[in-house]
Amino acid sequence: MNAIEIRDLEKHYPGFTLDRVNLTLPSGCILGLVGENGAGKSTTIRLILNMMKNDGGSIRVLGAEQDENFSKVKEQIGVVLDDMGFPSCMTARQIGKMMKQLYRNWDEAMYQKTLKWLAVPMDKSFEKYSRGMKMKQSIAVALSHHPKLLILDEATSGLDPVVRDSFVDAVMDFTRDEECSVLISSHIVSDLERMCDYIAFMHEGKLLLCEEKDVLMERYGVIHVTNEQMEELDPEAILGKRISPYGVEAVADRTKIPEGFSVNPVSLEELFVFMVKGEK
Amino acid sequence: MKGLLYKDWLMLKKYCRVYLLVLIVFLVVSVSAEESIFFSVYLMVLSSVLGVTLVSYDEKSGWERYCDTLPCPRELRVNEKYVFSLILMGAVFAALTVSQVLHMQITGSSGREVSLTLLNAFICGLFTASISFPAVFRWGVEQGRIIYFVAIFAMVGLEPGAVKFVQELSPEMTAQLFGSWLVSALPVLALLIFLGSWRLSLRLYRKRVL
Repeated sequence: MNAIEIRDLEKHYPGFTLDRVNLTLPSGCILGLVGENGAGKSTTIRLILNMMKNDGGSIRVLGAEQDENFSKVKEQIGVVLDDMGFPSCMTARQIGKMMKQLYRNWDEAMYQKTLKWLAVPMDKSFEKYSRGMKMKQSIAVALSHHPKLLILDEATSGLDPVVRDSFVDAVMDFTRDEECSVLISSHIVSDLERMCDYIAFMHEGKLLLCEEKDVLMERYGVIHVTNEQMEELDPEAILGKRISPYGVEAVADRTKIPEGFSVNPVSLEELFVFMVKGEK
Repeated sequence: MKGLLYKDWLMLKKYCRVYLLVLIVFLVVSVSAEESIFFSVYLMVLSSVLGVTLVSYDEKSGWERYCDTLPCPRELRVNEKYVFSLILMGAVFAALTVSQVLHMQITGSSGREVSLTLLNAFICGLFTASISFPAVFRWGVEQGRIIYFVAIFAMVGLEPGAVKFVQELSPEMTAQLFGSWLVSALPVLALLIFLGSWRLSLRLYRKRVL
């Protein structure tokens, strides 16, 4: 079963269109959404969570349609959003008590354990938390009701490097159970590179590509060539290029590059930046 | 719903302490004041407004949006706010009844006068909530507050004065009116409007983009 299936998803705002997005997250996998601000990542996530109505296409989450019973599906989803908040006056202890009433599967012991791991104080009110601490509180809630799907929108922003590293490990651990899947969007591409099985690039409301990470890394590479050499290459082979006085740096499809060219491994960040910013 | 009621109770304790002080002062004043109708109506309107105030805190903290990610449908959230508001109004109305009984014994007011005061307060409280909730559920507190302030002003500023004016203008007519079926029908009508407002809020909030 797929954790998320999106077909021809559309959403129109004044000045922005989410344009026929197709995306599949297989169970047991981690899919990373990469894109600049305003690319449509958060809109896609909000549509998946049925927080707003789509203008076209369909979404299935954990095998269910987004109908009136979607609230039951949310029992199985853990969510961390960039801009969400708990009531300012509540402490972690009180938030736990409240969540126990909202989630049928709430696991208080797990909640306490996660708070301890993330070093979130039990009796400090939410309004006094730092941004990172607020994120940690949200992560603790998202993990403490045995979700089958985690949806994380910029969840690692605001976390210090040590906690971020542990968090990435925790997300990878989470998908050891083949029924559990993760959809994560982040600006910190190095985190996604480490944990994701699939990568989706979004740009100006369009899905540029969605592919297995290993396939992407295998297929594309960086080449450094002269202007003359570049002109000899098949334009189809070039995803994006950067011209400097010292020559041309380009991300290229290895299968379309003639033998004899030295192709270096590409990072996800380079791949994305070249696709979006590089000249064709 | 228990979780949401618990959250609102905590928020009420934290942010609305000053209202408790106002409640105590006004209750004490209304016991001995000759004209207790203003204080009574004010307290009931205040209690109905507290529910709306809590919606504004939810909005400010980002809770409303976060709640959309929880297994907590919008219908449940609207229901909880109306229930919480009813509980608050019920508690204040009970305290008001006690203060009015004391008022009757201290000032020698008639049972009819006291009943009229309580009836007024009850209707004004329900009306304020009935008008304010759909506005804030539809437009949010920022945009819906105009309707909300008009409701408060109409109930606290105009209604007690209007009732007093009619009473003074024609005491006989007021007495006649008080004895008629119309007076017994008014609280029922207020309740029906409150239920209608509840239904309208459900419909409006379901469609709102947060």
